[in-house]
Amino acid sequence: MAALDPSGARVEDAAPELVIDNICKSFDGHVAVDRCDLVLKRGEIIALLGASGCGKSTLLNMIAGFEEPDYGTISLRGKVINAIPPHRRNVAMVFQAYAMFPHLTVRDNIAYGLHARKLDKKEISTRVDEMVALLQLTGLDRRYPAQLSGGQRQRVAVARALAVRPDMLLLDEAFSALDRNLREDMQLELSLLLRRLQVTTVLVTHDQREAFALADRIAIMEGGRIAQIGTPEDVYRKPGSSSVLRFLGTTNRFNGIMSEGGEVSVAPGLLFTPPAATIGAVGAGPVLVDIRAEDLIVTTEPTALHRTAPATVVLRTFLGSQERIVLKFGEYQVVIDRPAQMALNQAPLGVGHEVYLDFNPASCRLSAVG
Amino acid sequence: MAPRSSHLSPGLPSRFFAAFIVLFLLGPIFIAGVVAFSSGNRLEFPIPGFSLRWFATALAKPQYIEGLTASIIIGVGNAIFATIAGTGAALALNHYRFRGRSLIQALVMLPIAMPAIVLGLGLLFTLAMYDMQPGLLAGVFGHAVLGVPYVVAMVTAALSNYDRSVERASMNLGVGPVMTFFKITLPLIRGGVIAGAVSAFLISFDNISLSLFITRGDTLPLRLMQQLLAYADPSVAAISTLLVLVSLGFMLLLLPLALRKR
Amino acid sequence: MQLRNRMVPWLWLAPAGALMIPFFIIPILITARNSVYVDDPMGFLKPAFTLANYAKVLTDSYYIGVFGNTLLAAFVVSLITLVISYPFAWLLARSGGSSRGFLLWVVYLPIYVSVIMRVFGWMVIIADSGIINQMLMKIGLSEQPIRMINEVSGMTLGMIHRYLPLMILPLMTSLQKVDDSILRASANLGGGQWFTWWRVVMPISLPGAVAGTQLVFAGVLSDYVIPTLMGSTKFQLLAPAIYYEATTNAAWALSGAMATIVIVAVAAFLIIANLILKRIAPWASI
Repeated sequence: MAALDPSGARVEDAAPELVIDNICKSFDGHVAVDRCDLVLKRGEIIALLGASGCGKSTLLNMIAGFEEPDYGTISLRGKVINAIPPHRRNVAMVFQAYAMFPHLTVRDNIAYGLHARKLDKKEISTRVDEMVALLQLTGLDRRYPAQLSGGQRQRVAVARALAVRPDMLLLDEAFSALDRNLREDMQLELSLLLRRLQVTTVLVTHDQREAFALADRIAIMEGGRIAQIGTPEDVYRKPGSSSVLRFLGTTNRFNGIMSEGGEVSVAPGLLFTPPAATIGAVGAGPVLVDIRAEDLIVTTEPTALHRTAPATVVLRTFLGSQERIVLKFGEYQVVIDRPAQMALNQAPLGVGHEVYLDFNPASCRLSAVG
Repeated sequence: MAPRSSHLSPGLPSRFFAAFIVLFLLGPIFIAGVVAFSSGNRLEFPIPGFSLRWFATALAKPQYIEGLTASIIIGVGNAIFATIAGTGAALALNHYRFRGRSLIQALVMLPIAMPAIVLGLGLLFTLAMYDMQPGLLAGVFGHAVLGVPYVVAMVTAALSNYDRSVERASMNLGVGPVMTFFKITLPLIRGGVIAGAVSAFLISFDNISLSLFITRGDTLPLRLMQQLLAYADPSVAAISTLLVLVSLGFMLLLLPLALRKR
Repeated sequence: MQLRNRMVPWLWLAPAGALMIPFFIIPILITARNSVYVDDPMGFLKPAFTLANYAKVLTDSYYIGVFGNTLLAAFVVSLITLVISYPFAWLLARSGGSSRGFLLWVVYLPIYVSVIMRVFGWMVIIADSGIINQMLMKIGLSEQPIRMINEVSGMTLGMIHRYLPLMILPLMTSLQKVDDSILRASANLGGGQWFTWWRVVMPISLPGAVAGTQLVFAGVLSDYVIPTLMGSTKFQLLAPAIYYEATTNAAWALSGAMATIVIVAVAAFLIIANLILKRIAPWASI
């Protein structure tokens, strides 16, 4: 419900749309979801991002009502929905393989939820026409799913879900069946559509690009817990832990030793003092140092800030917008990504060149060994 | 793999129902099997005592043994013809597009939908034209017709299950289509062909409606039926049970072989 | 080269042709031909062109009765097997692993075991002194044994038992198309149990139900052994009747007419069923 301010303009309602409070779920003794909390505002798009087995699908299924939480509550618009069976929740889902009804045409698939809600024929027809136009399915609406391509089926799945005007849209790895180019096009289209319609959305994916392309906020899940939640930029630039850092982007991992004074040395020749924020719960002794490929800098001269030893260029690959350099540094193969533009300003690095590693200590993350 | 969610699992009533169906399907077979071991003279259950006498009696009845021999000959004979015909047809229908394809497909599968008495009657009428009498040979050909749809179905399933490019590779390397079939295709679809042959055999072995017309009461089911009409005694159950046990034994023997070849 | 390529499929079809033309196509044609001939009183078949046989079969109350009985039996058996198979096929389609293997084995076994053995088992069960009657009298539900053997009730039971697997298997194949995600999608969109069954499960199972019914129908029409061993002389069925006319009466023209009517009826049934299926379930033939 939107309130009006004195000038008559709409004020965004600050009341949360979805509240997940201390949700837990176990299967046969294995904890799938471990005390998760989440608050969503109306119109917000949030991504649950994680590797398989992290609990994201279980959490989504609990929102949809296909699984019951062992503990905790899920509330939609202030009302606890734990006890409401799946067919009475107004949360529409787009399934991974789209779950098309093979015996119904595109029109009938889209109309399915409307029939279930017992709307009258005219209303149903109007809404179906609306969805067909919105998802660019004109001309295909009398076909059967078997006669459609993957991308077309996905659009039908989205149309079917949106047709019922759900309180919330759930996407379960909805893009994983599409090939790369189509995926990116569809993600863009869907992102624009959802924002236009102001549909509150929870999407589940293991694909970092998908999460970044669509979501306002990302919740990184690991082992049933939400490891970090924030805007894509927050989560990427300020990873809360080593595991979150490693999950996004290409990372390099080094074995280092941290002294009592907080200095970290990495053989064969890096020495730096990491800021407190990056240390986490690690103490003196052996540590793991994680740093992104794009946070490493290659220089032809040793810099004064750190004691470095030289590395040798092993491979240089042109990736279009980026250049990837692989160095041999001691026993490590270090991967460095940098904008291709930058490479133009320097003398080209050939294989066998000696170079030096540099980086901002704030961009690494430390974690305990083992 | 997340377990199936509770609202989709089959509930208790449907399990009870399934158990009832299992009982219904297996019951008469089980009871017949038990009565085969009866020491009594009549069809009664529970059986008064355990005995193998009816097995001995059954195996000593010449009409049963003749019937068994005839059924085996017809079964094996028809399986051979049905398999050759059906495999070729399945190949033609699956690999090639040609005019009349759907008609041929319908014709080839028609014997399943056509009541066997119609076929039997027709063959009775027609045999004389080919200078054939009702008997073993007629039985072989008549049953083969019945078996073709089964062979086609199984071979078609096997044909859709492998990658056709191996055949193209073979022909690309200089091997003609016929040799390619025998060297490449056939081994790949072997499972389907064998399944089809076995189906043709089983269908024929148990067939009554067709055998009635095209044999002279030669086959085992016909002989057993005559026995039941005359005087029903456990020898009928005994020989049937014996057949089931023998064939199960065969299957158990062949199973490790079939599994090993994978 | 072109000609050779076009001939290839027909070469593969040659063995099937060599078998099916003389032993399937021609017999059916001869049957139709005989139906317009005349049975002379000596038992010979005389060439002619007459529709008298059809007239007899379609007007004489005995023959009408035979056709009617058989159609009724086919209809009743189809209906009962359909209703019984449905929950079982559903369970089968959705079970996995060892329980599925066991249930499939239970369905396949009767096909594997001789029909004579199954009939034998039924005889033991429903005879006057059989298991059912023994139990009924022991419990006291009945004074006299209930006559089931050589009655329509016994025959129907035997037929249901014989054709149940033929209905279960195609139904199961169809129902396998309804997987978890489709059921969840239906619930997710607001469909309760009944709505989901009526709008999703049932339509998807329709082709399987039609296929199963076709098989059961063909089976009952053709069934000689069960009416003979378990049926009643007051309820004549088609297969024994045709056999009787063709052999004992040597009435080849008459039996030819009966068989031709069966062919036409079965063909009509197939065509109509397929047309209806194409209209209600166009998606099944994509």
